[in-house]
Amino acid sequence: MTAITPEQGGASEPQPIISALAPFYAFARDISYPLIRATVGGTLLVHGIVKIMGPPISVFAQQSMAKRGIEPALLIAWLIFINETIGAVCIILGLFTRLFAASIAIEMAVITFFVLYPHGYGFTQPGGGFEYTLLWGLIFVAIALRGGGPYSLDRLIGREL
Amino acid sequence: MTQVHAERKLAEPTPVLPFLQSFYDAAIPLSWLVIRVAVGWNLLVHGWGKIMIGPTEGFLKAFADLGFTPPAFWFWASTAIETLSGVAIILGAFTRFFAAAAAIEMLFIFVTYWPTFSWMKRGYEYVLLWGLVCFAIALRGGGPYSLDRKIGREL
Repeated sequence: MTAITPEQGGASEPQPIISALAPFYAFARDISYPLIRATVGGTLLVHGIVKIMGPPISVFAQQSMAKRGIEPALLIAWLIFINETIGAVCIILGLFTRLFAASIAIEMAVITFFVLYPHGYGFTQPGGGFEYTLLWGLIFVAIALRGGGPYSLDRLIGREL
Repeated sequence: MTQVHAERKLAEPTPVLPFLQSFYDAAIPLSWLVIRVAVGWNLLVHGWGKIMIGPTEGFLKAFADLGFTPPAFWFWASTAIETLSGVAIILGAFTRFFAAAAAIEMLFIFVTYWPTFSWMKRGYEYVLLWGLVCFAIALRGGGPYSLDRKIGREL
């Protein structure tokens, strides 16, 4: 471990009670954050693929945006498609991480507070409660704060937003 | 965090907008706290909700229908995990242990929801995301702004 990253924590990291686990933890701490990127990016990508395979974007804009009074419907529909396809892949790879994470976090905030909030908290509520998109969105906020992190293309490139 | 700060630049990318460096220095350690609070809060809401409502007929039937028998045992086991793990993960105390417990619970629920994906249709998507993030917390430990780090020793 040459560079002390925020994940490795250096001397501020607690000593493991079972000291034999120290080398494992040094490895595990580094893969923890890319696992989170892959988890939230992967679930988002499924939604993106479903949208691409579904009805044309103009229909999505009409049904999901304009109907709820979200305008300009077509532009926002495009942003959602980009977020959930290119954005999701970029989050997994850690490329332009902060930009896409912030964009997706805003999308999740709108869904959480303007669309799902009236349905209540639990995800099993009719129409879907807001707990899932709240959790999902907060993790994208955390990713926007953190940036690419370990095992990311941003780190490989050496410059990021 | 001063010691980390000094050597962080070796691995962290340079910001395209250099004036953001000081913001990122503060934001990067906060990121892990946001993840812990988001996950822990959600666990706590579910655990505390079960305590407030109690093991009603409907709850126990729902557990039994999913194959969790005896339902009272699984009701209280999941309530304990969600409440205790929720508090522990938020505070970052005994983080690895409680995050692993929550991840294992989510794995159980994942199996019962399989193979439907969408969270809107009671699919496994939600518990998969939740469980994997719990697993990532178990790998990472308490991290910045945690009691584990204050104590200086952790599992």
